[in-house]
Amino acid sequence: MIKDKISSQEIIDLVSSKASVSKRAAEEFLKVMITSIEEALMAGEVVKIKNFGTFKLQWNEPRKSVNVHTGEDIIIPGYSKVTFVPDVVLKNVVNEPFAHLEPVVLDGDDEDSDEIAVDEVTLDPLRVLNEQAADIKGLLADIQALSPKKKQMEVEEVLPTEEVKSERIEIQDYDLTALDDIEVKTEENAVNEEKSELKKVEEVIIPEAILDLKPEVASEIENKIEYATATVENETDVSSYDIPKYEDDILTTEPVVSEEYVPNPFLDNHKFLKKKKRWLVPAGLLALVAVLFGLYFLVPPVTNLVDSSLTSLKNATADAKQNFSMTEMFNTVSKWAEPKKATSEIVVVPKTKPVVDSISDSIAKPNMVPATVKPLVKSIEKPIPVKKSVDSLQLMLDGPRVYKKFIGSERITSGSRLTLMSKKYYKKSDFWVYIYEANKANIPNPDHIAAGTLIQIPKLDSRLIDVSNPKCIKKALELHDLYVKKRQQD
Amino acid sequence: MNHKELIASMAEKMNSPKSIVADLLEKTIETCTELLADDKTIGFQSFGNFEVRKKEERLSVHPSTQIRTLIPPKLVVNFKQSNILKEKLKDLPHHD
Repeated sequence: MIKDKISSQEIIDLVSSKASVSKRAAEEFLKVMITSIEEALMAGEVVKIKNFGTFKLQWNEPRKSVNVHTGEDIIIPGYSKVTFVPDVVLKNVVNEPFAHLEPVVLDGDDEDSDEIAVDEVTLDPLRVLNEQAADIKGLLADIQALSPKKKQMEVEEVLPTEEVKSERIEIQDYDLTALDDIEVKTEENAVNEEKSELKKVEEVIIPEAILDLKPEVASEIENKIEYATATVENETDVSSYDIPKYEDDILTTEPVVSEEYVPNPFLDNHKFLKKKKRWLVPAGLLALVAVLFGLYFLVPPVTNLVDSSLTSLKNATADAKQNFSMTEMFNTVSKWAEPKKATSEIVVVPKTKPVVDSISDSIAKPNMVPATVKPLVKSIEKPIPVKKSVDSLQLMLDGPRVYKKFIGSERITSGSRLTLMSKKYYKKSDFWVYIYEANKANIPNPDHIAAGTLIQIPKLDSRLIDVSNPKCIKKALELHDLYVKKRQQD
Repeated sequence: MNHKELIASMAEKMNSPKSIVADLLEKTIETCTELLADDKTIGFQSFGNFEVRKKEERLSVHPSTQIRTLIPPKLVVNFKQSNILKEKLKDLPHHD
């Protein structure tokens, strides 16, 4: 032991000088103290001294051991032992040099890696979607090349609808400007249509089964959709006469078309669809209108070539559907679209709910095309005010902190620490960063503050230093990393 | 035996008022605390040694959650009884 050992004599000297009593008195006192403690311990008592600690007798059981030299078993007899448990005060005083250290949880990194993994997973379906969209494009180009001159116009119309269909979920829960972009990119003719008409087109597009009739609808919309919807009821009667000969061709490949033949089966089908997917129902109705129009206005014959090509497209899109569930799509789309938007920092999640509402609205009144469009518009505009009410705490955490009021001041001495001050004033040592920020001008290096420096303790908002709120702790730790690492780099 | 009882028994032995004994005891404890804080070892003849030991930092793993935590180093007071005291205690019948 190289440590300085203070003997009994030295203790006596120190105590006598401190208590300003004679050395003899001090010596006697210490002797009496020790004998008193011993006696009490002998009597089996626990001796507790305030601000110092507790003495206790501990009985150690006899145990077997082995003589190292001879290998014989020996029994170490049981014995009593005086143990000392230091008082909290003594403990803290002695541990002062390490008081600023706190246990560090080492497994914090796992959370970050998990988040990255989630990002990758959610981006993946989007990529697959894009690939499939490209495939469909190629397929359509082939069809276009193969199709006779007469069909060319129709195929051109089909192309945009396919494009829109593949991305329709994005369109639905995203916004109308995005919808416009997609339309412009994919289709030249449809772009000329007005916004409201686009919305209608989008609604019409949803059921894949009616796809073949879509082109007619598109051209119809260009003429006038409002008129068309108004006259639907009259035309259903008329079209029922037109359909039969056309029906025979299509019935085998396009089962949905057959439903439009008679009004009653359609109603049954409507219910059936409702069970399957809610959003399909209004779309199906719209498509029905479109089909009837197509039959009414255009020449009935539709060749098998177009049918087969369309069914192949249907399969492709059906595959795409199988890969992603709706929720996955919502996630991907919102994540994917986020950086594009000016309001990117705002959570996108609330958006989906109004959209769902609008869809349920449209289910309530399936026959009215404009009705389905209006709630959709509302739903997209609604979330904007909601977004603006951002968490005030988050604002406080993100915003710059201004220190105007001070609740105290401390002068740095040897052994002073910002963390200890933080613990004293804010109940948690992690918040020392705020003290540092408030006194930055006087502290060139937070690790080595010159003795005699006057530290102002800033008054902080109680929400900012909420010990129970993990956000506050996290922020403080981020700042800690920022300052400490900056120092280390310098 | 708590603080008060100790003072009472000491005052009786020394034939001096409790207040003086209490004051002396307080001063003694203060002295000891200061010395220990200064990383000194205190030896009381025939009683034992008080010394400061450093517990090194260590990794602790929570048994059920498997969360690893780095426990920082710390300084603790350790008391070791002297051999004289040990011999005295040997005569003591154990109570358990």
